[in-house]
Amino acid sequence: MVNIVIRTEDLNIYYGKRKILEDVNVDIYENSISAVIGPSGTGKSSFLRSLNRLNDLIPGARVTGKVYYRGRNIYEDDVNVYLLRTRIGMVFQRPTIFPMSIYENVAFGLRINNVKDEDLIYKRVKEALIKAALWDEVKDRLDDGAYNLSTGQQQRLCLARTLAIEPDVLLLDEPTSYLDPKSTKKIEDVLLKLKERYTIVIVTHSLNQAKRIADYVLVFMPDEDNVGRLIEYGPSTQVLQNPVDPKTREYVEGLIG
Amino acid sequence: MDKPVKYISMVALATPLIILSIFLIQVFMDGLPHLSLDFIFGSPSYDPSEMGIFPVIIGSIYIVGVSSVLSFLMGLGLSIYLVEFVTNERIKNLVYFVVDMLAGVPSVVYGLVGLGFIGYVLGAGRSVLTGSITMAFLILPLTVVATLEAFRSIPESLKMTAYSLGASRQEVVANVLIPLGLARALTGSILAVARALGEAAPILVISGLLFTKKVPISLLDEFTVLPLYIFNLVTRPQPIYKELASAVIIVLIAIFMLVSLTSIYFRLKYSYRLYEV
Repeated sequence: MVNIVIRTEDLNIYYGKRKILEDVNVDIYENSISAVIGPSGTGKSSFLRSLNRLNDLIPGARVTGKVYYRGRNIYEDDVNVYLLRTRIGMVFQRPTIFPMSIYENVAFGLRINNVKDEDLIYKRVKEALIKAALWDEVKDRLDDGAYNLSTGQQQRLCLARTLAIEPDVLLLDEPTSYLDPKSTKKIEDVLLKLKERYTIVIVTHSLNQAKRIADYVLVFMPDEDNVGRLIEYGPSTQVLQNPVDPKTREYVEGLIG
Repeated sequence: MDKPVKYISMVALATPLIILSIFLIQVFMDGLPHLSLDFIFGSPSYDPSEMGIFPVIIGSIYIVGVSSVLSFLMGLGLSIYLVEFVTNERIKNLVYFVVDMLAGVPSVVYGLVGLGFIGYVLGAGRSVLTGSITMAFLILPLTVVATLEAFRSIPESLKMTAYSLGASRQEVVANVLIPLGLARALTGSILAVARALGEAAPILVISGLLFTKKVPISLLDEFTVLPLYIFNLVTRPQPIYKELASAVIIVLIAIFMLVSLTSIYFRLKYSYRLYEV
């Protein structure tokens, strides 16, 4: 029996009057990596942001339908979105580094969430950096500016920052698209380890990345009106090797996208 | 084709520089012989040889200091509100429009409104307080532009990151906007300080004092400022007063340079390298 962590029901996303994603019904399972694939502009990132209600902050964006996180619809009025976002963490496409030290970047989320105990902060920062496979590279220069890190290291720093507030789910929006293969592999290795304790949803442009790390694959594809739809989802071996939908087949064979 | 444009640009650049230099040289030649510690720390006198401007310097610093702080705080609040709390584009545009209009109002009108409302209706009189509040509103468009520009320069991605870590709007303001934008907002507001330092018209209306021996101490004291004093001196017929006016101009320029240098120092000390997205 696998637990469902996130379930969407008839999820629609609009920007202004334009619908960009229609009727997504999907389950995200605990301790697994679900990869969201599909051509650009099919609402993959918007889908991801709808899972932690970050779309709320984007002017014009509107979400209808239901998103259940551990059984609770997160779009109900009395949901504490700030608390929700500490449970469902996010890493963006480009490293988002604050002009602070390495240590303070990782501690940022803790400080924002009013953790005052410096010993606890140090412990969490260290653990997070170890989990993100960055500790050995930065332990002697935690007070250095985070800008001096390479892009790959910066992205792992962002991952560590999200891990430091101990979320339950990790959302990653094409986290390796600006990274070289070596840095990409490091992130992928980290994610494969992290899925033992976290539930991970990753948007990726790379089919190979989905093949390498995903347990489940969600395929988004535009319909005739250019509205994104979830056309197929299931275990990655099935979706990537034996797709049911002809469009998915064309996509995984590299004919579209 | 490039050549004529190049020469026209050069002339356009050189003309104001040359005129300004001639003016400055004239001012320094006239004014420098009159500058002394007695002049800076002395009291105004009807005898030109014993003339001092200490109460006027203090009046200027007082007005500029209080109005800059007031205006900066108002600009900061307004910008934060606009950048982080207003999502309706129409309201934003309305506020920008009002701020632009405020910038277009002649400064003497500020003086009249300030004296009428703050001075008489609210009873603050022709005081430093009335002058400072009026001046704060006068320079508000400049501080708003400076602070807005500073907050807008903070990448959206950093704010999103803070939100994704569970920050509320207030926490984003306190932990992202203010720490990352403050230095730039402060240095950007230097133009506003310069404007406050140089304005004579509204102060002429509000203070009306061309001459005072009394150093303003309390916010409710009477006062006068350097530009007004320069105005006072140059309207007198004897040549000696024009030279004294030049000396006061040098003091005014010196104060302005001091403010600018302080701002450059802060910019260098607190400038952040923000990630471009």
